[in-house]
Amino acid sequence: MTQSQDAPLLEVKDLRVEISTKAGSFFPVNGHSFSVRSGETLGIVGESGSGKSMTAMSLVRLLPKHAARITQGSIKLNGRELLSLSEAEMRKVRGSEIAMILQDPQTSLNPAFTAGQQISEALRLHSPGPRSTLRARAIDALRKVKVAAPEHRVDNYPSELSGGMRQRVVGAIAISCEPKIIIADEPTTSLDVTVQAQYLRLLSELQQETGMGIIFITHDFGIVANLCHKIVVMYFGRIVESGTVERIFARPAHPYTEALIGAVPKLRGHKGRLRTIEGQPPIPTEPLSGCPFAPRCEKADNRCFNELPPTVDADGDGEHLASCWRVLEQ
Amino acid sequence: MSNTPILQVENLSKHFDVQTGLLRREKKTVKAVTGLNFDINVGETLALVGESGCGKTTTTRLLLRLQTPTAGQVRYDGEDIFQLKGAALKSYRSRVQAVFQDPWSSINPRVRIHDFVSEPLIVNEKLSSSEVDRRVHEALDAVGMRPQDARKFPHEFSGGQRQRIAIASAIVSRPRLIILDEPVSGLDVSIRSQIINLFKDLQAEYGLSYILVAHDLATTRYLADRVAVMYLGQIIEQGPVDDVFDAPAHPYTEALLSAALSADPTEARTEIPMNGEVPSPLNPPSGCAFHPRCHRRLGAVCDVKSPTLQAYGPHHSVSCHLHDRQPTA
Repeated sequence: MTQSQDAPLLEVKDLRVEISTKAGSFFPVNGHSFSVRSGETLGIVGESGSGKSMTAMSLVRLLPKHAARITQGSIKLNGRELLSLSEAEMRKVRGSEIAMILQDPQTSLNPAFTAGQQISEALRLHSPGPRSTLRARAIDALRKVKVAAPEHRVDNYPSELSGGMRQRVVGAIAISCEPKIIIADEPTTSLDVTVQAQYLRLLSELQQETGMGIIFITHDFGIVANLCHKIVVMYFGRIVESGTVERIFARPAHPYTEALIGAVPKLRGHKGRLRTIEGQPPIPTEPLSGCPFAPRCEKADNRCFNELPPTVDADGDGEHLASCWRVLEQ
Repeated sequence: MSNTPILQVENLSKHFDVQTGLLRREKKTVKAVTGLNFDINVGETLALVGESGCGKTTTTRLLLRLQTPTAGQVRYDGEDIFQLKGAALKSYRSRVQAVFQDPWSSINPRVRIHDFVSEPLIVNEKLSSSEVDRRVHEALDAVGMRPQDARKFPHEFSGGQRQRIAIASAIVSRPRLIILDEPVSGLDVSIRSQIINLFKDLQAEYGLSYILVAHDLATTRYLADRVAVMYLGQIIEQGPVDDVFDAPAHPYTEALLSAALSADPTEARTEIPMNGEVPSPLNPPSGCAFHPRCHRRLGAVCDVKSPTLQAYGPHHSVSCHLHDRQPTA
């Protein structure tokens, strides 16, 4: 990697995605700004429907056509603007520069092709070389994700592999072309804790070797606390808080983040009653004034219901941002 | 919590015959669960933990009488559930209920909430329709839903509300034991904590017993009083949840707990790596089933001799050669 340490690998600025439906249009991604540096892991956290996956899909420009479109903002990968690329150019970026690992290895692998064939497909498209070497390179990719006996596994169909092994094959496809960024959308929810731990360890080892940036989309605070450097907390299509893992866990600035962390059962320490967040997020197509979290917020006052809070620098050093009136008052 | 067992599981085994090999001519046996022994007391939660394929689901299916055991007994109020017939069986079915993982697939989308929740009453009990209505409203109220929700269809509710509806249907027949199979793993963090609290409240109010199957160990810690750790169809450690989680006696329990990610970035984590994956139940290892992956393997004794469950502490037992010569505390 030739770039300087300070320049972010991926830089997203003021990104907005609009979805138009018969009931009206709304923004599942509304003014996102974040960045990922080389060797850095960013966690995107939020409830279902908060726009996490839409954010991921907009980064690779795979939003459902006709229904959703990017209306403003910029996505820069190594300084190159992805939003101005043609579809053909973007296709070259996907897989070779940004790769994705999806939640369910059962459905992201094709049951009719062997592990080797599916890895070779990615290689053939993105890093051409002689056909005869494809198999050897597929075996290599399997070896990198620590599949035992890769020379045999390369000829296995997905049905012949265990869940953890299948997820490794998905990982092998993702890393085979040495991407700069990997987006992992809930990659371990269907795995046993032991297999999950092995898989996550593998990802961070690969990260240390290659310096790739990782974006984890998850609602598992265990993954966030153990693997991520930075967090972005999403609520109702907006980033409500962002900052380093240490600061956000120690001093969450937004009441939503605070409540989410309090709602997670802990492995050690006091077992009290868990915190809950009553109510539900607002309906996206309905008009909304004020903070979208206000109806569920214990600390909301009149202003919260009427005026949208600005994004505030919570610690005064630009490293911890939150969108909440309460932070401004402090 | 009292000490009267509502369910006593004695030496329960379930083996499946399978045909493998070329042309499926080779006959083999999968020992899904072998020699399980445990009690569930009134008002208590017992958790079964272990990796996929360890026999948790087979155990719950046996307790629900969805499968017949190869050997052993399950006693409910002193009677073997596999001998129950007629009215006694119906009564067992309404006293033992289940809540499953996915509230989107466990509720029939074409049936109104009232009809879904009342089904256990219609099937197992003869009640007047006004009595059924009253019981449905009572159950919906207990899970925090409104009586007018009974007229709605499942698609009108969110995932968390659907799980509440599934719980209402499980408690409507006034059961004594509910089997919770991954009851919160499909839910969002904020909803998850609501449902965990709800299970606790219902237990306190109605004196319910739960058998919990969950792969999230932190959730298990919050809900369970006792825990049974399973590996390849056998219980390898059993005891009060705090004792087992704070000081695991079996190397497998130790490794399993070390793999769990704590939601606290300041906590130092030392993961104990386990070699390889869970062996196939078709060819279980000799001796102690865990020996090929064990980080505390003693030597030949582990490869050859299978350990037995023995006392380790108060109400705490473990099946491992490490503790063979240790005096019982």
